[in-house]
Amino acid sequence: MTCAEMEHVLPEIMEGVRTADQEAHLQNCRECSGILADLDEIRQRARSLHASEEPSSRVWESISTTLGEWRSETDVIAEQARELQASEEPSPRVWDSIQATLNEWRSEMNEISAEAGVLADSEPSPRVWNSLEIELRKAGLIRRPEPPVASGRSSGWRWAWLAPVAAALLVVGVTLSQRGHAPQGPASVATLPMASLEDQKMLDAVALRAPSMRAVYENNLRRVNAYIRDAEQSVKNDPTDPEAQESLVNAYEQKSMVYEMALDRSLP
Amino acid sequence: MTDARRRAGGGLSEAEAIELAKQGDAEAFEALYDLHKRRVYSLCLRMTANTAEAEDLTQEAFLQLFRKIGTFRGESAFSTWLHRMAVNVVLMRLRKKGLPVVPLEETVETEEDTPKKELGGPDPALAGSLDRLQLERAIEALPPGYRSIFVLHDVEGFEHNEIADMVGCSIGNSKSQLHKARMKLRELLKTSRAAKATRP
Repeated sequence: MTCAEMEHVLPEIMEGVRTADQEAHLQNCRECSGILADLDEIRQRARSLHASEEPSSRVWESISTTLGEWRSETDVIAEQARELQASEEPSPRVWDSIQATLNEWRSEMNEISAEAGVLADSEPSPRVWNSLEIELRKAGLIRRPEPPVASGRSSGWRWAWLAPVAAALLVVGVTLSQRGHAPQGPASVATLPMASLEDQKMLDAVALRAPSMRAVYENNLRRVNAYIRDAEQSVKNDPTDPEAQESLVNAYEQKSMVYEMALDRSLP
Repeated sequence: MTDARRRAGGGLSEAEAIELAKQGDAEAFEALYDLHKRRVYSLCLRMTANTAEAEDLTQEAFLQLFRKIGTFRGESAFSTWLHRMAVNVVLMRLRKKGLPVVPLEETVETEEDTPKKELGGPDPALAGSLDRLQLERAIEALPPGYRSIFVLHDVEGFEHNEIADMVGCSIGNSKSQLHKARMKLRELLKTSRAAKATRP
């Protein structure tokens, strides 16, 4: 091995890797072994320079000053942010939008509640109830019903009865007038309100077909008319009251059922 | 916890100081400065060979520590993390100044850069006679690229793969440049010693 060859492998030898040839050359060559010793000395002494110097006090003073400035700037920014937060007021549109959304939600909740109520309501159809009511009253087992307490929930299916009610009233009126039935019956019918002229015609029709049922229907009509008057008064007092409106609808439903049953039983 | 990691008088451990400093505690940050200032400053001084610049870089490194300490997750030792940050601050400054952080040539050796063996002449060994001051001056006289590699490896103790990653060169190049830096240092030391010997 030559000195030039040794020079190329010095880095590996410095890391402790050496062959027998290299070892033999180092043993015999003062120059190469001297270089290796010098490089090793430099490496050893270099470690003593690690963390050997102390910075002047100016360094920390400068750092401290800068940190203080940063902190002041941060405080100012934070203060400005707080002021901005407190000073800004949303436009009225924001509240309007919130209210509109809340109303939509309320409406949806009512619909859901109504649907849930219909599902949960196990009462039979109004027609069934009216039949039962009439029979029970006939038997004297129940008294005049108290005006129903509105549940506060909307019941869309109940409104659907308005058309049949009107239609039933119209049909009865037209039919009776075409047949030329004259009012007959006890004096109590005459005590019905003037608005119940159609009722009188219906009772006359019932009396013709089933005289024994006339009194029953007359009583039922009286009660349901009273119920209607009460409901109408409530609506008149507060036209926006949904409970009063629902009571009125219920009253008309009751009356429509009476008509329907009377016509079923009395008309051919 | 070693005593070295406790702040003198304060009794604050390094881990406690780190957590408090993350929350903006000024005293805890000062404790961290006291613990690590020597190593950071020494690194800056060796790398730049300039006291004023070293102080400026030390300040910059600790201010960056203040900004970034919230990102320290303890995946490595805090000192390793900090000194790596300090090295990056120094290398960034060297690059901004247009100084090479690693010797420009990869394999081609110039006449000037290649240390020569003084064949035949007197060649007294450095071993046993090299003092710290001589070495410091020789390191200051190294070209910046050699100086970076030598300081990072032989003074600061970074491995070649870490150096390659930090300065942006290959591991082989790091090894090669380190050897050249050592040879250049040897030459500088011998020249200095010879000049001293001939001085009346």
